[in-house]
Amino acid sequence: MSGVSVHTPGSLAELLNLLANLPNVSIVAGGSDLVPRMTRNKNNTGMAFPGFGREGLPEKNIVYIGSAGLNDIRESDGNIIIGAAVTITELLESALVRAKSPLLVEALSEMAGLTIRNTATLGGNISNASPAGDSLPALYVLGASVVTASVNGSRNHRIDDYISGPGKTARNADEVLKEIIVPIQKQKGAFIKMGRRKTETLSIINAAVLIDVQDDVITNNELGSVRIAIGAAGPTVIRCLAAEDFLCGKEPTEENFEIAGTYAAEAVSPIDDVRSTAWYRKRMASVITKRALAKALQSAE
Amino acid sequence: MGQILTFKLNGADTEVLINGDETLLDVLRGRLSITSLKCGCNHGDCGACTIHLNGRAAKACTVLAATATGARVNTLESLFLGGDLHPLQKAFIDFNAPQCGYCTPGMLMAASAFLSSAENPSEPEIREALGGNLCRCTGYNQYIEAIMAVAEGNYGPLPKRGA
Ligand SMILES: Cc1cc2nc3c(=O)[nH]c(=O)nc-3n(C[C@H](O)[C@H](O)[C@H](O)COP(=O)(O)OP(=O)(O)OC[C@H]3O[C@@H](n4cnc5c(N)ncnc54)[C@H](O)[C@@H]3O)c2cc1C
Ligand code: FES
Ligand code: FES
Repeated sequence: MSGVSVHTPGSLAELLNLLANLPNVSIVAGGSDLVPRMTRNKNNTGMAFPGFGREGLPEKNIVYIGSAGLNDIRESDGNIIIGAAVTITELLESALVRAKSPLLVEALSEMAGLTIRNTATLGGNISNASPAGDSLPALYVLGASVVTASVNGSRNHRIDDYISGPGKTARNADEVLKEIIVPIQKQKGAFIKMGRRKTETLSIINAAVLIDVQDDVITNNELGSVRIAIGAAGPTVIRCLAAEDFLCGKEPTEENFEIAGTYAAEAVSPIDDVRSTAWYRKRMASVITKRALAKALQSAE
Repeated sequence: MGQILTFKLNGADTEVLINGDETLLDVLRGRLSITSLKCGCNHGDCGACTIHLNGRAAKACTVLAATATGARVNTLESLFLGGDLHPLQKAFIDFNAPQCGYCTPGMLMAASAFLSSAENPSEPEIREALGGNLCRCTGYNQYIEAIMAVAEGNYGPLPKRGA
């Protein structure tokens, strides 16, 4: 017999009450991160997720968010609002998301494989706060934010404030991540993931870029504002501000992308782990930055 | 602490006593004796435990059983249509796809979910859809060729999604 109880609240209000009143609560959405981790801890086998350590036995109360009505994808005031229980597959099938957030679609299509995407959620990918989370670089450059809710009300957090370290977020124990707010994409974007194989693999390193082309690149031949974020190469996703500053107003040439790549490699602070080495990641930071910039501009033409 | 899971298993209303920390794989195999789904890794990596959860392929070892409350869960058994083999099963036999057979139920469940929702899928799309299913006997090409043959209609029409 285990001491684990799973609760399946039928509404957000019920969910928030459970979070306010139950001791030792874990939240579960699709379960694709939490459940394998529980299994590892329970059987005391295998490795814990790199960087997360072995957390001992699972919590006593698990609250499922999938039955609480957080399943909407909607458009509001220039944003796409995504409920915490929406799966990656549902996002990829959404006409709204496909039309208005092509960068997010590009990143999510590279996440895991079809079968995992059928149950995994975007809220779970964010909450897990893995430095390698494949949705995160795109959410950083798009300027996404998240809303957490408790019985005492809601709070908004910019994504880069929300994720505070490997596996760590600004969420209080009595709060749930309720929804994700993604500004509609007006810029050209690209996402690149380097994995050890094509599907169902965590990133060795990943990067998203967003290039403002309102100042028409073709006629002026100079870049507007550029955003670059790199994942799996530091404790959290890293925005490469020096590379961004350098590129603003520059011509979109291979030489300039090369220099931006050098700045990006300086910005990251990768580690050695089971998937790769710090040495390799630092070099690849510059390579994928360069490639992502070129890829984004191809989509701009 | 035990709790009751109520769900629809292969079309039948089902109630079973479970523990909160059990996965759908634990419950289907251990408590309901459905041994068609296999435990290859228990961590979401291999696809041997693939089932249909509300009509979509899912890895039973990554789903907490209690969260399937009210869900439609289908296992390999659901593919036998009135005692006849599913077109994919016929093709797998014709193409000698299974070797030891351990990955086969998962391959069938992933492929059947995918084909019931995809129109004229290409070979790369089929490979992508089965990306989460590992075969230790490494007979991937026979599986892909068999699924292609079914997708091309050589084994008759397929049941559509929604079962
Ligand atoms: C085989 C395999 C391959 C994978 N490949 C990739 C990959 O390529 N890229 C990638 O980024 N990830 C990958 N993952 C990891 C995982 O699938 C994703 O991180 C997924 O998005 C997690 O979502 P979930 O709904 O399953 O999360 P869950 O496991 O349900 O939850 C994850 C964590 O977030 C918390 N949580 C979930 N929802 C909320 C909420 N609303 N509020 C507060 N806390 C919450 C949980 O308590 C838990 O700690 C893979 C996993 C597996 C098993
Ligand atoms: S046993 Fe579930 S994926 Fe391997
Ligand atoms: S046939 Fe043996 S594992 Fe696939």
